[in-house]
Amino acid sequence: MSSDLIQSYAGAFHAVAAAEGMLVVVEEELFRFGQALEANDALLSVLSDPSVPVARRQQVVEDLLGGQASPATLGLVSLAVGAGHGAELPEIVRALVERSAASRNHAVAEVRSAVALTADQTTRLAAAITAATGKAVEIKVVIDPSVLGGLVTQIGDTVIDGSVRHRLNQVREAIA
Amino acid sequence: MNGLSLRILASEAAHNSFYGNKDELIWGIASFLIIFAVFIWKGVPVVKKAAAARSQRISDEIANAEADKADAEAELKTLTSSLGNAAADAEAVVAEAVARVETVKVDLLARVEADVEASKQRARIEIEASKQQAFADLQAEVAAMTVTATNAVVIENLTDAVKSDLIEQFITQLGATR
Repeated sequence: MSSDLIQSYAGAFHAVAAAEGMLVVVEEELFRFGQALEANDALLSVLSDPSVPVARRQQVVEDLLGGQASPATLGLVSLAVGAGHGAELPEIVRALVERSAASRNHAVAEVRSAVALTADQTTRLAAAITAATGKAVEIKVVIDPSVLGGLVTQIGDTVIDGSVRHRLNQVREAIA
Repeated sequence: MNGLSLRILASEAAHNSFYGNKDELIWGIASFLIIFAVFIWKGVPVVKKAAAARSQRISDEIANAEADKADAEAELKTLTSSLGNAAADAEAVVAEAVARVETVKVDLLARVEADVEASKQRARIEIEASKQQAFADLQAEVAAMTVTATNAVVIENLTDAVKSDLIEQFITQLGATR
């Protein structure tokens, strides 16, 4: 899928969510769903497999998000899967999140952590990132057990890795 | 001549006396002299000629024998000389062979020494490489064990409280970065 098409879908998602007055909710739900897709190759494969009937793929989406997400989110995901763009959903969601943050004059900081952050930690982390980079950011936390401990923060192309996994890798490289 | 002698003897026997008839004696002597003269006249030259021929033949044979002897001596001399040359040649061949053997021996020794030195050098290099490989393997093994042990210890001590502390440290350190 071309970058233009991804941006078009992201723009359409953003417009629909804004029109429904549920931009923040839809954005968050889509972000979680995108993370789940990236972490689950089998699910991503089913949703992007053209040999699986569209109705079956959309039923899978309904089974996953029905009762768990807003009707707007469910409808947008179902739309993309029905159009044969299930494989591009993570990219579309990422573009949507960046577009939404940009509309609020923020950048997106994707933070990976082994455990969930408290609201206070999230707020202080956003302030710390702003202080360090000079950019106002919106935090998107991804729970990633492989981080082991600490945090990995990515803002655009900048990565600040303060994870235990990174420290252990440094120890291994130093010893080897 | 034998017939004449027999007749004279028969005549003497008829007279029955050894010197019975003087004429007979005279005739006998005369006949003898005649026969002797004829013998001297005809026989002696033949005998002389035969003797000379025989003498000549013997001289020729002696001369031939002398020539043969000279030839034989010359041949002997040649052969002796040849033998002398052959011995000298044989000595030269042997000397040359000995010299070549010595040269080959020296070359072989030099080659063997070079091969031995090259083998020793290769062995030294292989030993050094093996030593370094063993050291590297040991170092990698120790490193792997250390990393595994470190991971195990760190993960075992990563309680929720520790994880929360780590997040707080990250936020604090990042906030201090300007």
